[in-house]
Amino acid sequence: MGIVEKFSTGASVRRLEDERFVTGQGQYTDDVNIDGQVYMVVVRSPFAHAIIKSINTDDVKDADGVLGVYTGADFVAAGGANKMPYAIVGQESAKPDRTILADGRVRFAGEPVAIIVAETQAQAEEASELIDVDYDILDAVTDIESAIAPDAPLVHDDAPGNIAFRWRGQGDDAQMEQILSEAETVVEMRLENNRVIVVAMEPRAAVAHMDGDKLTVITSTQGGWALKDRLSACLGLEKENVRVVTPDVGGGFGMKAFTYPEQYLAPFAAIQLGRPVKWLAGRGESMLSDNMGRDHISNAKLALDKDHRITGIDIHSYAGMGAYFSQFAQGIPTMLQEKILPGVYDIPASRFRVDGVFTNSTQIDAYRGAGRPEGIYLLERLMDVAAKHVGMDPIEFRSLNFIRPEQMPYKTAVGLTYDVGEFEKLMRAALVKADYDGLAKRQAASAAKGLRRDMGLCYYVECTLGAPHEDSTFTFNPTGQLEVTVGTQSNGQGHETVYAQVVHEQTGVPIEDIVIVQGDTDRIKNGGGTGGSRSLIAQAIAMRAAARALIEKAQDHAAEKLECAPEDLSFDDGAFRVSGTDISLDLKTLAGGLPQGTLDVEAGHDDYTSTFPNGCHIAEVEVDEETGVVTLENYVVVDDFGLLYNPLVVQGQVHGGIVQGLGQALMERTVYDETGQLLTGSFMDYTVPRADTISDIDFTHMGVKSLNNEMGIKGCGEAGTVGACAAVMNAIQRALDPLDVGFVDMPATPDRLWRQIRAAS
Amino acid sequence: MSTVLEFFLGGEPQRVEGVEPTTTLLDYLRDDRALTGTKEGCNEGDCGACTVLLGQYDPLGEAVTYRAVNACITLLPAVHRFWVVTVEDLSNGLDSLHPVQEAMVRRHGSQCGFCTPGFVMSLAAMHLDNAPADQAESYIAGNLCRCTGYGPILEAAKDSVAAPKDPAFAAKEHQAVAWFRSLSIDTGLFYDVAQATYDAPVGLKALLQARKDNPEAVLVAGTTELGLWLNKDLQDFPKLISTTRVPEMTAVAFQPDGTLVIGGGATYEQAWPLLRQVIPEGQDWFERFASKQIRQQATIGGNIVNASPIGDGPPVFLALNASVELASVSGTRVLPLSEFFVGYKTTALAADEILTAIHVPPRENDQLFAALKVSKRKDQDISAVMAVFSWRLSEGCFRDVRIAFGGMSATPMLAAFTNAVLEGAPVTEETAQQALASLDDDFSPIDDLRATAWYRMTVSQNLLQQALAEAVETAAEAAA
Repeated sequence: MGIVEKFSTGASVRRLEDERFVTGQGQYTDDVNIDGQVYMVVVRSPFAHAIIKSINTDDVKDADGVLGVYTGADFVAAGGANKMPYAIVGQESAKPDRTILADGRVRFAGEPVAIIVAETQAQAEEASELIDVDYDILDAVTDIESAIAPDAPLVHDDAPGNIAFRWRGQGDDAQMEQILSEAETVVEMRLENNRVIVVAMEPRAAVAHMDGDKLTVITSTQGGWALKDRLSACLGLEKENVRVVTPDVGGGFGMKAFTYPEQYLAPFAAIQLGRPVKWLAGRGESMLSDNMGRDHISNAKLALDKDHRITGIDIHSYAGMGAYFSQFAQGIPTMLQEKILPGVYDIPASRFRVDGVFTNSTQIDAYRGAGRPEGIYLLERLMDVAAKHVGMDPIEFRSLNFIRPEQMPYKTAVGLTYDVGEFEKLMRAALVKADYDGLAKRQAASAAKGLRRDMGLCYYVECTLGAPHEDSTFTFNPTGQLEVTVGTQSNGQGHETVYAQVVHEQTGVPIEDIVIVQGDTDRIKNGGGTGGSRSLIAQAIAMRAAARALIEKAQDHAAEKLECAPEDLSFDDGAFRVSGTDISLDLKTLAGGLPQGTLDVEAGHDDYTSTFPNGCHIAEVEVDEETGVVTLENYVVVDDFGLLYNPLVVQGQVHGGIVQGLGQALMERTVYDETGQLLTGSFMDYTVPRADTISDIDFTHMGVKSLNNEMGIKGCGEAGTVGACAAVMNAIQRALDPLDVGFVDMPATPDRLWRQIRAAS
Repeated sequence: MSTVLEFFLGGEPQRVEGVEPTTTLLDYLRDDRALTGTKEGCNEGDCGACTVLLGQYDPLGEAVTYRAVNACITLLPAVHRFWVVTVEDLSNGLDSLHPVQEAMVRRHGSQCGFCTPGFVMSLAAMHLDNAPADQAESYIAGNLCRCTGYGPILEAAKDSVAAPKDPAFAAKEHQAVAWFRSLSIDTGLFYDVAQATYDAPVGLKALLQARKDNPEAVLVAGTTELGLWLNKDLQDFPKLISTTRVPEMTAVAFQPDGTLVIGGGATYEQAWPLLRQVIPEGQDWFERFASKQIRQQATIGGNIVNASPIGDGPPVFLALNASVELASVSGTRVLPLSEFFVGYKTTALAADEILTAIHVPPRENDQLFAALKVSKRKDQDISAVMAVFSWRLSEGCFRDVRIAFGGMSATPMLAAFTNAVLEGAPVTEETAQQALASLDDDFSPIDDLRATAWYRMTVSQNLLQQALAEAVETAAEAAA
């Protein structure tokens, strides 16, 4: 499987964290209890849009067990900066405040209005029913098309037409107009990317406590360093007096990458009350207030010449923001999506414009892939639409337009340079795996049962992202274990195992003697966190640098122990060896004989750059045209992640990512009613995949070593999600095309397909 | 009568007083006992992260039987005289994994690990049940995972089926059995804390008296619905009466005349082995009824008394021409189920009455039965429409027609007009058309989140059309 270098690389090492997880010894935020802790409940707006005329908390204060109740005004009066951060990416942008607690007006159902802290969770919940908030209800708008309609209610007064921002990426108007006018064919497509609720199995949570001047916040994050800095600014604490600890994290998927009001409010309450404060989101609260994902409407044009070669791609998208800008909400549909818009095709020109749209709904931000699944979904649907339009087989149409290996390094129309990629080869391998040649026979068998069967293909390319900088420190502790600090944060990806493999490979220290230390801003000065499929690449470079520093530092000590000259030593196969002899000394033994701290090293780098994982997804479906029910009959993926450290872990990432993509494509639909109430606010009503959703996934790895890092690896955490939606939707579209049902959008629920089939017949 | 909760947990007998009776087992485990391996993922029985096993000793078979339940909607007093098995009990620390834990590690069935203890417990239940590998999906239908995509977990389930019984767990079971045997005879539970009571009498007579004396009390069994009222609506329940300790209420048996009598407190899983003999065609309906965890707690009687218009059980029993036995201290009456549902979530049950049994009459050999559930997904979903068809074809005519629907009106209901159109009518395309048209007279469904009125009516007509078309075909073949 793939390229295998040393023995610890490419080995499916059992995950070190699993024994903890399967025995119930995992420690998630809500598993942490601190003596004397009290409980915080957030009072949320029941209305999607309203003016808060007054808030009366008298009855709450008198309720059993209540220790404190705080509104936005109280938060400010106590010195809190009532403002959440966000990045502006658009060339034009509204700049509305997003407050931590509402400031006079609420703009989505679920917006935090006040907090109540009581001795017990039950008391806090009961007291929350006693708060008297006088709302003046305003008209709400929750979907993009209604929001941009003339005379729509305005979510923010300073965002006319509910346009939140306007952004345009690379590409020249005049050039694009010329390309479109000179094209032999211009294919057009309108597509929706449905809003999804992220649903990490562990709800968001925080436990905050003060010890003297020192604030410690234990909370579920994808890296706590940004929160540390912002808490310091928001609550007026010295940075060294803020410690953010991230214990085990029960899934993040981008949703836990950014900070939330409750992560400021629990610490605030802990400071005010001098008691440890715990907050845990209920499932409904999570669904209402966790950052959601996607929510785009796009219009795309693909220009082709007479040979069906692509000459340009032109896209305009509306991107839902929800009611406020979340921290990186503007960046995702714009600069992140743009990166992969030309996909794996030799497209000489592009134009990409995005209008952000405010609606009275929960804020949108990163969800597994963040912009890249949206972009690949759009492109790969457009490729099939175009192939059909010009009467070409979609496989041959892709083949015709692929960037060839000999064109590498290839600079795309949006300015990225792909280092390597063998797209044609991987696609052909996937077609063999999927038994493309046998499709007609299977179709006939399905037809005999009255079912429509077809295959859909997606060739995706990912662009891994994230901060270029990462650090690592190595310390042999008194028990002889090597403690390795990392600035990334596992949310379930198995970092403890894979990082230990990296360190073992470099140092020879046995895997069981390597302790990966993550998620503590006191022990780890800086960290880029986990997101954008960056972790292994960014962290491995730092660990390898630290390993080199360790070996260099150890060399003189080893020479002293072995009574030889340092230059007579080489470090091979996990030990110092005296040349010309069979004498050797491993690092653990060496460290054990030296004063504690002698071999401590630290290394950092700014060398992480994007990698371009890519691959071919093929879905085969059966559609029952009588019921609209889709069954997934086969799923094949052939991926190129360069070199693999742990195939077991990689396969798990791919498998899980694909099922998340299939969830969005087949079933996940976020529904608000006309007043802005979230109707899909529980597991009963919001359908995430269950064990019956998926057949086996046939995963093959055909790595082409990346040239963009010293290991030759590519990120794999988001790839499954990037490729899955288009593969299954193309399959469904092809199955239904003979019925002339028009374009099928996600989610392809039986209800939606059935309607389209009926409407066509 | 015990006023103290007794159960076995963590290798030790437990005696609990002073914990409020509406405390859920999950809160007790996590907050009072710091057993945090059991997770809170939704607090409404949907995600399975809080799955634990309840072990019960069968003195006749001298064996412990287990059921996986959602701790988040199980009240603490409900575990009185049970062995509560949590994930912490499955292994002796990190170095001696139970076979299902070992399989989960080997197959990479855990990623973030949060849902993992719940899956481990569901797989442990499967292992202890000696269930065949093809039931893996059914055992984990009540567990959600967002990381793995389930494939590796299903593989782990299949691996662990073949694994031998774990000696470490057997030793713990041995301890539990010693504790079970040390228990005195069950004389019922009256658990009273801070003006809240949980009364679980042992005999039917005592149960009926308790009901009469406490008309304001809420009768509970599996609390799969009440758990939501507690956790999500924050309702108070100062007085609860439990049916679960009354043997007459949980009995399931055929009478000499072939009538199946299902005790009003029997769970779906308890009733199924015999109910399946009546309706083997109902296997799919049964498996799609909630999840294993829920089916092992929820009672058929509770499902009927709750009178939800979208319950999956009542239409089945309506079509089977079932009756309900309603008892009070002053006597017992038997009412056709069709007369039991009076209006939206209201029933003919008097304030002092308890539904003590469901009577399912013997089925004619040639009686067709089909239970068809329409929902957005297969596992653990609420129906948009639940359609149940039952009839006989005799001498070219429809006989004993009993078509019932859920989700189509304010109560689960027989399609009276349609049934009348079909009864005695010739099995022809023309009759079928008349029957389809008459569904409009029977039902005026509503629009809601799960389906529009139009969708409900259309899908109901389509289901009926398909069933009638098959009948017409069968009749034609019989004639030819």
